Formats: sequence, C-alpha cells, structure tokens
Amino acid sequence: MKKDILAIFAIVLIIAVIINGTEIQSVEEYYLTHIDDITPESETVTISIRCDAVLDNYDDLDENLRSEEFVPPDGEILPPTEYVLRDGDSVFDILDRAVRHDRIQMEYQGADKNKFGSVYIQGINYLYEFSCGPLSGWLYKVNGQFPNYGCSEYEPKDGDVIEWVYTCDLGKDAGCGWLQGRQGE
Amino acid sequence: MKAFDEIDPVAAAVYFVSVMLVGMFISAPMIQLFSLLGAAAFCLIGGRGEIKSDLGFYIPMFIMIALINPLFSHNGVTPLFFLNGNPVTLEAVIYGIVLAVMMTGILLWCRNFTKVMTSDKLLYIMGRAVPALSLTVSMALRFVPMFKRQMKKVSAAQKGMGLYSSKSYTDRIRGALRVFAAMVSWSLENAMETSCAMKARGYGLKGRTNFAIFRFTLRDCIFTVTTLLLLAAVIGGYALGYIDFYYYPRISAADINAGSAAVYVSFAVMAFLPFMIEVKEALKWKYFVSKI
Amino acid sequence: MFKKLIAAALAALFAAQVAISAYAYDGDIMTIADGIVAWKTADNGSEDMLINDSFLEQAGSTAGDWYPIGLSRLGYEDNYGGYLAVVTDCVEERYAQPGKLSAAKATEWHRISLSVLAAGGDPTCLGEDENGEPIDLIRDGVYDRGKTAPLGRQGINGWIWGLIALDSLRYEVPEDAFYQRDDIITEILSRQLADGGFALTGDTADPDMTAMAVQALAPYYNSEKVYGYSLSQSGEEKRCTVRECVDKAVECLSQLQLGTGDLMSWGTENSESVCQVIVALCCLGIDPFSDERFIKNGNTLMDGLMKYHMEDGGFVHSFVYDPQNPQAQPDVSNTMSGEQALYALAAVYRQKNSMRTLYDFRPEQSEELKSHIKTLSENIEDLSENAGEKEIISLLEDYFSIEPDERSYVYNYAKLYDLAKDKGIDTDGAEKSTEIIFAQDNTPSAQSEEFTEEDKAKADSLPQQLTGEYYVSVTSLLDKLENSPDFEGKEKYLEKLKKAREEISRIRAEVESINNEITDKLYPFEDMGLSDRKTVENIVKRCEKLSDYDRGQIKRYEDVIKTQTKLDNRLRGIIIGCCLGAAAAALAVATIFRIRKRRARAENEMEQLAAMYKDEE
Repeated sequence: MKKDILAIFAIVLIIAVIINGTEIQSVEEYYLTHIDDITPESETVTISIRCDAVLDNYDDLDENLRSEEFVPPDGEILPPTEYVLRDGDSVFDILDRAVRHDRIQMEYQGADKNKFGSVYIQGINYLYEFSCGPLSGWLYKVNGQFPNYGCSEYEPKDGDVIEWVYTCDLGKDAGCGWLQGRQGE
Repeated sequence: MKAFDEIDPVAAAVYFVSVMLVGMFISAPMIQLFSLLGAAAFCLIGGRGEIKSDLGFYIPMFIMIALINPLFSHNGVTPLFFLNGNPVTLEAVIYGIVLAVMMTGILLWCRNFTKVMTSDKLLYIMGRAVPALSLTVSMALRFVPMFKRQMKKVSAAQKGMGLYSSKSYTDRIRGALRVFAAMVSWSLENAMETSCAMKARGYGLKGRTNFAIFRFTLRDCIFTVTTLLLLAAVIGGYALGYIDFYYYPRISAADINAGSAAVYVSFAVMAFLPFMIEVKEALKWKYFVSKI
Repeated sequence: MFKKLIAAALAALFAAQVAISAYAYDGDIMTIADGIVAWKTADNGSEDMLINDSFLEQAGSTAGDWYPIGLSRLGYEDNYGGYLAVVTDCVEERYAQPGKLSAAKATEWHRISLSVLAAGGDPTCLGEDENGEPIDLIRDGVYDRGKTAPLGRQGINGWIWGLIALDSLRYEVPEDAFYQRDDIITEILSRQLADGGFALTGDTADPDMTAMAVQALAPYYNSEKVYGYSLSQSGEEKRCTVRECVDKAVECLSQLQLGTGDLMSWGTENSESVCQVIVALCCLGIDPFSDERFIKNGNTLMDGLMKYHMEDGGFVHSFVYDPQNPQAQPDVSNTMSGEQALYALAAVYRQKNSMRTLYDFRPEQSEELKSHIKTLSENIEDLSENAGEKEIISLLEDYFSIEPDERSYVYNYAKLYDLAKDKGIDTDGAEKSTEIIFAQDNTPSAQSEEFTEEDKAKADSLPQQLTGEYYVSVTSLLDKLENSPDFEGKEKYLEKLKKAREEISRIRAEVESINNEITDKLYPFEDMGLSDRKTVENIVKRCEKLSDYDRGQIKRYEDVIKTQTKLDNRLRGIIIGCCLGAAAAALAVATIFRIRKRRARAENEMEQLAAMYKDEE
C-alpha cells in the first residue's frame, strides 16, 4: 500500500516535470544560446547592480555569504553597462539579458506565481531576499527614482539608467520611501 | 535477543527523543549519515520488519526526495545543467541527498520507536502524569487496527449474507457505504463502552495504583545518563559552531578538527547505542549457549 | 607687466600660426604621404607593406583599388604583384556573372583599369573570361560599353572616368567601336552647367564632379577642335573647344573655394573635394598652391586639405557628422579621405618632379623631350605681347615638332596660340609643315620577373592542408611563375601551385555555397523547427571540415551553431520527455498490476474460505 502511494506520487512528479518541459542544456549550451550579441544600435539603457547596503550591515548577513565572492568589497556586482533596448523590453528583460551576458546568478519568481502579477527577483549573485536581515531584498531604480511597478511591468526608455540595489531595511537605506507603507500587504 | 526492549520505557523514550531531535535539526552531513546508519543498523539487528520489502520502499523514496530538491531550488554556484532555463546545481543535488538521508533516517527511527515503544510502555510513561491524555492516546493507537479488524468482520458478514457480492462497481460502492455506516455507529458505541468500563474501574481517581512490569535499574540509569551526556556534547558542539555546515550557495569545506571530530564521535556512539547493546547481548547469549 | 604678458601671448600665437602655415605651404609632400601610408598600414593590421592579405580582401572594390594607385604614383614599393594577381582573379570571377563587374556602374571597369595600370598590369589583357578570351577592361568598360549598357547610365561620372581610363595609356579606339573618343568628350561637354561646373544631379556645380571633368578633359586642353553639341541643361546649341569649357570650369572651381581653402560638396565641407581640385589643377599644369585663383584669405588648397589631417597620419572626411554617411565619423581617419589625399599628393609630387600627370600611365618622357618642353614653356612664358611673327612661328614649330599625344604637357600653349591668332598666323599650316622630331616610344616594356628563391621557398612552405587564407599568396605566386622565364623545376612548381589554386578555389566555392545555403534556408534564424535540423547539421558538418580560417569566412556561423544547439536541445527534451512518460506509464501499469494482484489474492482467499465452508455444509 505504501509503495502504491509512493508510485502514484512518483507518477505525479514525472507528469509535472513533463508538463513543465524537459529541455535539458549543458552549461555551455545554455550560455551559448542565451548570449545576445550587443550591436551598436541607437536605443540603449544603462544597467548596474550594487549591494552597498550589505557592506553596511555585514553583521546581519548570512554567514555562508560572508565572502568576497558573493559580496564584492566595493559593493559592485555589475558596473554600469550599456545594453540595447529592444521594443517592449521591461526592466526585467534588461536585467535578464545583463545577468546572462555577464554570467551572474539570478533567481526569480515568475509573474504567474505571485500575487503582484509581476516577476519578483528573489536573488542576484546568491544574495537572496532575507539574506541580510528580515527586511532585505532587491529593489530597482530608474533614473534615481523607485518606480512603484513590478520590474516586468516597467518599460524603460532610451537612455534610462537602471540601478538594481540591495536593501537591508525595506528600501529606507536606499532612499525609497513608499515601500514601508506596503509592509502589510 | 531483543535487549533493547528490556530497557526502561523512560530511558528508551529519552533516547529516541534525543536522537530524533539531533537528526531532525542538525543538517551536517556526517550527523545525518550516522543517524541513518544507526537507525538502519538497529532495524537490521533487531530483525524487525521484512528487510527486502522495506528496501523496495525506502530506496525509491530516497531517490525521489533527492531528486525533488534540485528541481525546485536553483541556488548554488555550480550549475550542472540547465532545465528549462533554470540551473540544476551540484549544491542543490547534494542538499537533496542530505535531505533524503535525513527523511529516511527519521522514518527509520520512527519505525524503531513504534516497534520498541509498545502502547503499554507509552501508557506506563504517561499514565501517571496525564491519565486522560494517555488513555486517549492508547485508545487512539488501538483504534486504527481495531477498526480495520472490525471492518473486515462486518464486510465478511455482509458478504456471508449475500449482500452486494456482485462485481459491479455500484454494488461494491453501496456495499462499502453500508459497511462504513455500520462502522461509524460501532466505533462510537465502542468508545463509549470503553470509557464507561475504565471509569467503572476507577481509572484516573486519586490514590489509584497501577502495576507495571518495568523497573528503572542501574543499567537504565547508566544508559540514560550516557544518552544525555552524548546529547549535551552534540548540542554543545553545535552551539559552539564546531559542526557548522552550509550548502548554499557554495558547500562549505568539511572542517575536521578536534572539536568537530568529538561531536561526530559522540553522535556516532549515540546513534549506535541500541545496536551495541543488542550486539553485546547477542554475544553474551552465544557465550552462554556455548557453555551449555 | 600685463601688457608684456599680452604681447608675449600674442607673439606666441603668431609664432604658432606662422608655424602652422609654414607647414601647410611648404610641408614636404612625401612626409604627409608617409603619414597616410603608415596610418593605412596600421589600419590594415600590417607591419611592413600596406597591401597585405587583409587589404587584398578588398581588391576590386573602391576601398581596395585607390591605395595601389596612390602608392604606385608616388613611387612607393609595395606588394603590387599580389594586388594584381588578386584583382585579376576577382575580375575573372566577376566576369562569370551576368552583369560582369557591375550592371549599372561602368566606373567599376575604369577604376580597376587604373589600378591595374598602377600595379603594372595590362587592363586590355587581364586574365581570361569563361570562353578563354583575354579580358579587355578598356574595350568592355569604355568604348564598347554601350553595347551592354550606356556608359553614362550612372550619370556623368561614367563618361568622365571612361575618358580618364581611355586616356590612361592614350588607348586607340577601333573604328567600329560603339563610342569614339569625341563622342565621350561631347557627352561630357554637353553636361556643363550654366555656372561652368558639372554635377551628378541638379543645376549647381559640384566641386568633385567639376574637378573630375577637368581631369578628364585636361589632355584635350591644347586641342583646337571645336565640338558642336547641345547643352543638356538648357538645350542651347553650342560650339566650343575643350579649352573654353575647361577655363570656365576652373573659374567655377575658384568661385567654389571657401575662405578656409577647402570646398563644400553636398552641403558639407570635406577633404575629398580639395583633393579632387588639386588633382584637376595638376592635370592642367597649374600649381595648386601658388595660383592666385585658388588662394582665399591667404589660404591655399593645401591649407584646406591640411585642415583635415589627423594626428594618426590619416585624413578625416569632414568635421561635420553626416547622418547619411554614418561610416565617415567626424573624428576618425577615414579610408576614402586617406586614399584621395594620397593620390592628390601624388599628383602634386608628380607635377613638382615634371613627371606625367596622375592618370597618365604612359612611361615617363625621355629627358630630351622633357627639356624640350621645359625650354618651350619658358619661351612661351617670356613671350611678350608684341613678339614678332617670326618668333611666334619658331615657337609654333617647336611645339608641333612634339608628338601630338605629348603636346598636352606644354601647359601654356594657349598663350602662344592666342598670340598667333592675333597675328593671323595659320597654326594648322605650321603644324602640317613641321616634322615631328620628339616622338616617344610608349610601348610598355614587356616585363618578366624572375621566380626567385624566396618565391620558391614560399611555394614549398605551403601547407598540406590548404585554406582560403593562402588564396592571395598562391594566386600571386602562380601569376609570377607563369610570367617568369623558364627554369629548372618550373613545371613542378606550376603543377603544385595550380593544384593548390584549384584546391583553394574549391574551398572558396564551398564557403560561398555554405554562405548561400545559410542565407537561403536559415536566415534570419527565427522560427527554426526540428525539420531544419538536418539542414543545420549538414551545414555544421561541412563547416567543421573547413579550417579555422575558412570557418571565419562563414557568415553568422555562430548563429548556425546556436541554432544547432537549440534544435538539439529541443530534440533531446522531446526524447527525455518521452522516456519519462514511458517510465511513468510503466510505473502506473506496475502499480495497477500490483493492486489487481492483491485484490485477486484476497478474492482467492475468500473463495478458499467459501470452499471450506461448503464442505461443512
């Protein structure tokens, strides 16, 4: 009986995997097929990823992340880099391209899997939400402002400057005010 | 042969709780390995259960748990390959294996626990302190096998009467419903009867004495003290960070020093205690037999 | 104190200005040319010769043909043999195509003719076409061009460059040719605009086109022939000599020169227009840096040109960014500007050294002829208004004693002619009565270079596995070998090189066919399905057989690899999915089987039980 339940569970798991897709790629193949050539076109945006807040709150950081590998000493994970802006690109698309191009780890929750209906960035370069205290996570700025949109909703314009910053205090340390009000959500 | 059965229930309970506590909350790979091996060795030497059939369950379960983790956790610095654009990392695979070891180990310990801690032993432990609860617990524990037995009886009786014995599905379902209805009223009645009977016997009254076959001997005392000392050593070592171990994002290097080695040895001794007791008894038995 | 400071600053400023102008006026032409050559050499990624393999990839195109002309006319040593071999092969290849060199642009023939001449080749006998006939660029591109397409299909520059090419060696036009020389001259003259200039389109003179027209007409400046034509702009009937038209055009160019010494074409001040004007003036024997018509605000054409000189030695197209010409950046040395500056400098250099004009590729004049022309020119220059009839006739005789084709080098003949006309002297009669003394042997010496030990070593060092990289060296070696005098083992080398050449041709054809297949079947690499997998795999297999160099020639090879990986992944995904599905199905079957078996066993037991009770009954 136990074995039957186990077998049924295994069947369900296999079917779930099949439905989700079974495209398996080696690491080289993945990067080969996901690197986009950056051609000099007119429309570009600049994107950078920084985690300065972690350096200020190093004591809160998970012990396993206390290494220069995960938190660069200058807080710069991706220096400001120019990327081609394509039609209909959202901030998330740009980030996705940038991290793939520079082989930076990134994990996100798809738009269909959370209540905001937008992609939620869980972790970049192994720095995950809550990795540095209970109020920590990733935020983004466009031209110095924190847009009140999910990153897959916001479509930047030519010449915009996107900054991804890590906060340890719900955005307060990064200069973002509105997020505290949403704490209850 | 079953030396561990002879150990005082309190000592055994303290032991199981300690081992399971460590096994559940400390995820260092060596601890998990010892936990699993200790439980498995105890199972084997006790000759408890049908080993072959059990392997058929535990091995697939082990593999499944080990596989599920990397499917959902994409953290880790060493991608092995990419599944639908998500990395399957070495760290996640290893953590999955450790998780599987932990689950299997805990399951085996639970098995051992139920085999050793029979309901009379449980009642013995809790009867004095919380009689009502212990009664409920023992009844509940008894209830399931009894219910199964009674259900078989009822359905056999129904079939014996020639009701719903055809092979059609509707018939079968109607038969099952009928049996179920009978079972509900029976179980309620049975519970009432039992509690009335217990009450009539003065269960739970003050000054009531109860007989128990168990005695807390010196041996039990030594066993309990040893268990607690080892537990203290393991928890102390854990609190001091001797056996800190991280899986994400990069697996921390196994740091073997005097402290961690002491912790591992302590836990290994702890996990293999029942096994050693059984072996000792078996050797003693053989020795006696050879003397005859 | 303060005044002193200002004075010092002003002095420094003046000194600087003087220094700049001094450089621009007298700057050694060869120094500037050296700078261009050094810049372009570095730009090609070469260390010694400008014409290296990477440059030769462009042989037969605008970017690849003008540098050899500039280099050769300035007397630089370079890899002309290699250039000639590659351009010959390129022309042969293009002749196999329907439009030959180009369906519309006759200037392709003209430019290549000039560059072949510069490299020491013969444009009338350049390789073989498909029928094994020698290719004659002058015939196909100039006088018989009309048999396939009008010479002027692309505009006036077709006529201009056709004439320049035709006069490069003063080629004779056969009587049955489609165009006679005068037809071409008339066509050019008829396109002169009211302001004296010429333009590709529109009613206002374009300095480049005007200068080019002057370059083409310059050899006929001394001709007294009157051409009758109707202006294409106004339809007005005209009868003019070339001299009258050229004078108007030069006047027009002078008008177009800006205060800074340079000119403006298509609304942009640029370096190329200055170059063209310099070449035009040199063709007429006018010193472009001292003629007062071309000094504006004290700025000469040289000042105008040096405005565009960059620090790296090259020249920039313009300091104004032109969105329609995105390749010419306003702050980077430009290939086209460099090549035009180079041959403009060549024109000046040749003028200063009394050599033939830039586009006159005939062998240099004999010293005798040179000194004769020099004396004659000086005498004409010294001629006063009231010179006696006898003096003029003697000078005319001196002039007519020169072979007609060389007379254009007497740049101030017009003055003599005018005086003679004033005096009522019959110039035609003078010509008829004068015997030509100064004839020039212009048959090019048949050159046959030796196949040196170095070349042999080169041929020997060719690897077993040939790649397209060796195309240039094999082609040039083979060419040299075929033209070299016989030596022992020539046959062996000939066979080896021919084989190598065949192999390389095969590789190049393969590369091209792969490229074609990619463009036909895969481009733009979207919506690739599993049905394309075979094609992609096939292409990759073929590419893998090629050497690294040849694979580099495959366009978008990376995309092909990407596509292959993607398709492989998709197929693998499907296979894995199927395997998993099969496993799930097997598991399900096993589970159902187990449940059935258990149930059967239970039933069996029941029946046994029933059977037991049956007995009791």
